[in-house]
Amino acid sequence: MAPQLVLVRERYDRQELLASRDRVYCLCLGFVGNAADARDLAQETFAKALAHFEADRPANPQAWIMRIARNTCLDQARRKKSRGPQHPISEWHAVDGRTPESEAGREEEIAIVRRAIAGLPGRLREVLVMREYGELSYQEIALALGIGTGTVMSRLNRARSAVLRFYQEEHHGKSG
Amino acid sequence: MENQDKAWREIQLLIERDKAAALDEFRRLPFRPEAPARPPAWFRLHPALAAVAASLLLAVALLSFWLLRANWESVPTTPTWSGILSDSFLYAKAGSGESARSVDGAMGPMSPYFAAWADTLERSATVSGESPRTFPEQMVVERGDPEEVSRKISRAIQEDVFERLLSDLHEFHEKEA
Repeated sequence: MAPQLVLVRERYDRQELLASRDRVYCLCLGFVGNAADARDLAQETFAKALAHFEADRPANPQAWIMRIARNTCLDQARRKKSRGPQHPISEWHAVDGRTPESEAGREEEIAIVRRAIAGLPGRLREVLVMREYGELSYQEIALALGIGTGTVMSRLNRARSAVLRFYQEEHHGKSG
Repeated sequence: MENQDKAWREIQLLIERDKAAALDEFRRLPFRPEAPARPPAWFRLHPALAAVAASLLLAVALLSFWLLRANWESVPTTPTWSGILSDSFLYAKAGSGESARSVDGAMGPMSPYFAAWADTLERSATVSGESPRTFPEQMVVERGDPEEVSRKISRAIQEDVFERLLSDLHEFHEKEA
């Protein structure tokens, strides 16, 4: 490939990489459960990605950076021994058309979902977070984790069932 | 199954709200990820280049060594341990001391402190009119002839050289004190 084309391709890949910042941030949010840590982890992920981009030349930059984000989050969790969501309530901002009462209820429900996800076994959690928070396709998840698409689907199914069960138990327990 | 899908859609909605709220704040704050500072490209050495540079350095070092020494014959092939150990009692006992010592057979150089002391004694003896004394350390001992050595030692004992030496040492010590 001509040098100019390589440069254009690299620039395009970098743009594509930076365009995925929201998804990377959401993925980190799904893993750590609080916005402040998620923001730091997203920064760290991009710093690592930009540092290794030239050397690695990933075929699929999206899956590649998601893999970095996931590893960064797991490293951080290992470091901090994940204390769970730290400020789930205060981070919630009112959105148009919602009353404070209904917002308080939503915050509580979101906190339950976060707890449910945090309580999942690691292998199920990473698949669920990548799918629901990172919005990755089954193929991208499979690529990022180095597993088969079938495995992704089965783990995702089990993870959803576990989260649902936890949510229903908690939700009904509180309302009942 | 349908109920589960419906329940899951509810969870998905909650996750969407969670993400939307977090993203709202995330987008308001500046986000400028930067790659950590790396040394400039010219400074980063490729492993192959590093190996070549190391080989060149070694070659230059060997060449300069050879130029300074002029030939390889002058490079000592044996360690200097014998030279170091030749002064030790055990080494001498083992019989290795002889070869390591100077070839002329004379004793090693006299200690400068002892030489100064001997000079002082000699000067004092000259002033008092006595004949200069001879000390065993100043005598040249022939090596390789134990009989000659024992003869000289016996003579020294008969002439009370050691006693005089001890008394002189004592006297010198008292003067110094």
